[in-house]
Amino acid sequence: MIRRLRRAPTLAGLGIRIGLVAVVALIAANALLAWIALGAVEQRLEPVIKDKANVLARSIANDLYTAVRLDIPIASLKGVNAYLDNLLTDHPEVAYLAVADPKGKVLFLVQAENGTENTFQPIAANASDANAGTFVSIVDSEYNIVHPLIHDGKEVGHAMIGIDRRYVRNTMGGIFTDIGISLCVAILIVLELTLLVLSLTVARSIGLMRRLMHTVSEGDFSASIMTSGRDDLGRVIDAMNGINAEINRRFRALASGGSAAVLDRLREGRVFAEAGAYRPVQVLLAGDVQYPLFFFIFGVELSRPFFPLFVRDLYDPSLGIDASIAIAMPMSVWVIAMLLTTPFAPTLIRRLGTRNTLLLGMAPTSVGLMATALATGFIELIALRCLTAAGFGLVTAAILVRLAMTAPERRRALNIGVFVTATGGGSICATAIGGILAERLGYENTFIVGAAIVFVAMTIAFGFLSPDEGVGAHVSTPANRRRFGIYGSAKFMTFMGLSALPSRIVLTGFLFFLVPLYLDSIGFGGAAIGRTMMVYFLVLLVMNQAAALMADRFQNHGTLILAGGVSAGIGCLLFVSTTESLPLVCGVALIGLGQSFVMTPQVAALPAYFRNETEAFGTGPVTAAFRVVERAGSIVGPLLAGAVVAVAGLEQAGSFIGYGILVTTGLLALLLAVGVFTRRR
Amino acid sequence: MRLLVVLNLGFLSAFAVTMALMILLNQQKFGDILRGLDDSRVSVVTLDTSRRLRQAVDLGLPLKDIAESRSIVDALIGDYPELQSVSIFDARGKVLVHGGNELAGGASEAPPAWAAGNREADGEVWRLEDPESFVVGAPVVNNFGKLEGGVAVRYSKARYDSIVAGLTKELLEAAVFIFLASGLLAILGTGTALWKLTKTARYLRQSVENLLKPEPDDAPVDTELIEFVGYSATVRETAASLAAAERSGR
Repeated sequence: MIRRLRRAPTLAGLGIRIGLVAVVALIAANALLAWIALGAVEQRLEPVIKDKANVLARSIANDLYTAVRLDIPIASLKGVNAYLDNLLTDHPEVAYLAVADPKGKVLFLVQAENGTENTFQPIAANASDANAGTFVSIVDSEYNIVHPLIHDGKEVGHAMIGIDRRYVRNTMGGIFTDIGISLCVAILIVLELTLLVLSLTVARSIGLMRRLMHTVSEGDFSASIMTSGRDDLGRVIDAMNGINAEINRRFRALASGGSAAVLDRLREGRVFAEAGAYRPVQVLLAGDVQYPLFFFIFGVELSRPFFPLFVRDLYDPSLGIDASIAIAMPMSVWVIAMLLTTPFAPTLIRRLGTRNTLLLGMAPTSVGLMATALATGFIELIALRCLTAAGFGLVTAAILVRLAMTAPERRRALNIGVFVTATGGGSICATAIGGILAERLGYENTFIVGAAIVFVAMTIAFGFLSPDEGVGAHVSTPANRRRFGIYGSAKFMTFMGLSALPSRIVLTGFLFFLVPLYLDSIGFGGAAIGRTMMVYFLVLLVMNQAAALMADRFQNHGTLILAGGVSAGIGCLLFVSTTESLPLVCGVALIGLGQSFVMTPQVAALPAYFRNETEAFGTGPVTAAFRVVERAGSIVGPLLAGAVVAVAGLEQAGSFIGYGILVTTGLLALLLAVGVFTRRR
Repeated sequence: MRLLVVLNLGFLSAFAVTMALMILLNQQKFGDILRGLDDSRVSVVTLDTSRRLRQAVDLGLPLKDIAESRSIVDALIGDYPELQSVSIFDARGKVLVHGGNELAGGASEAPPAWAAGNREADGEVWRLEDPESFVVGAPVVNNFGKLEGGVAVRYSKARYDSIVAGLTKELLEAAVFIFLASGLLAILGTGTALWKLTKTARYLRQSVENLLKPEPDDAPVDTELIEFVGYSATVRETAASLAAAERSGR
């Protein structure tokens, strides 16, 4: 029956080929457009620059003429170089300014610093060509403009200007970083999109086919696949459904008039849809929620690089709250609102299904972001942040529940990896692009773009998730009476106070609150703030997995937690001690490194450090208590930082958090060294 | 086909968004540079004029009595056609000499914002914007530091807007062609990449459809789906059992 062998393309191979095609087309299109844009800009600016140089040449000639009128020889004039130097500073496109005598001998010359060598030289030999008026020549990379100085009909000298033709290219170069970052984000999105579509169409269809084939192989003809697509794979599924339908039709025809013995023989080892109803075949993939989550985080986090600055603009002094604390308040309120909706996720999934729960969370988030853009007052902003955060809390909790539902215990870490990848990727893209958009479009429009991206996430969730999935599912939650006992453990609370709480204060108080304000105070624009903050998420995404691997391999969680604390502390101190870009980025990277060292080992260390507590209360309640303390840190972080800023200023607040982390890490090291957490009672 | 459409709709959206962002960034940066160059050029002209007037004021002439003022203004209007107007006004804002387009509300009084800007300029240039023009001004201060008046030069926003719009139009036109070309490349590339999958799916469908046919077509089977072997065997065996039961029932 099998005539020929046909090898199907693997999903990974298909993804790579399609992704490559899309990325090549994307890069080629944007590179070509950038090249055309640069040419068009240069072409339009050249005459403007020449006009300006002419004006400048005339102005210099006019000023010198004042002296010439008094019969002072040009060569004897004092302070000409200082005068030319001032002009050079005011006009960055000028490569050199010179004054020459009638024979073309250069009397005064100032040149722009151009890297290591001075390449600009006045074209003094052409000076005599300028007798009739301003003469313009182009030599290599500069325009040379010579303006004659005439007194009593006699040429007494020349004012000469060289314009660096690379000025336009160099100035336009400033946007290439932004363009490069936008392109990187677009590439990431295109790759995500490729994986999304392939995962939700090809991988899902093949998974369903395999499941049905396996079911039928075991003699079960009572199952059927619900398909919505009319693609080629959908037609294969239709054909398989048709086979089951035909087998069941023939069986039912026999059942209506056949003997019981014949039917019993047919039923041996087989299951038919005797009542006519088919059992649906379902395949749940963790990746189903990865893509809506990526876009959701992308949309929400778009305001990350400028949010404190946006709040500062809406701050109302008549409320009687200090500005720094007022700026921190919406960030703390965000965590509280999130906490309030998180517990509803399992119940809502059980009643409405995963898809509808996600839509129920995403809708207020999108509306909240849109309304935030239009907010005119501080109180209004707080209310809108509550609305947005309520949706955010519900969505993230629902996705975590969904990931826990779709994976067996041994694969749960892998599924959580899906969450970390999606949130990390979304945050990186959002902080980078959010800064650029804020600088170009303004804060309000960036919120609207964020709302639109959340709407895209809603569309993906609506289009690709089954409406019934998750309905009636049971998700275990720890019993209340066991949940609270853990807070009575002094040892547990000490660890939380020295590790979990400070690491969240660094995140929300330092990174989310202080970093944008500090960078803004030293003159960084939105795009530069976004780029700097993006480094944190980038380091976190890369190092999180490495830290988890190290923690598992060496089973020395304490060392990693301590290293993380030291790294974050030094990062904070380095950051507030400088105004230079590179050390600032290093500071943020050290904070990211510190957080990645701390995050996974903190959770992994809980069963080892709190054996008695885990035995008494269970792993779930201990981990849940850890999360509660973490969130308390997230609430406290911005308020604490805001309070210190109000009293002592931005740098001091940063130093306070930095030294605070180092002190708590030192105390933790001491307690670990004496075996407080590792000794079993 | 649906897969091709869904994938390429996503790709084309990403292409469109990045190209739109590219145009926006270029347009804004170009606008900033152009504005800076124009402003700097007019500032040089304005400061020059202010210095020339100051030389006369330093000789003891009141600003209103400087005979050269008219020729300075007329020369500027003649030399720089893009300038809308040049005005010399005294410290109270009364216009002494004006050339070019009429000021809003007549030529006798400078707008209050000019006089205010002039007072606060502290010897440097000051800048203002109205709906139609950019305004660059410079105070005229005498030897004793007393403000005698000022010079204000207006130049058109329309020229700036039209240059920026010209660039935007050119970039948009280029972007449309590039978008179409890259879109075509993406569609063809994706189509080629999916072709094998599509073909495999068609063969698999044919194989499934052949399972219940008494005389199946010459159709191959996708061997990567190992479940198909057990599946096809069970289907055939069940179909044979049903056929046997049907025959015995007749």
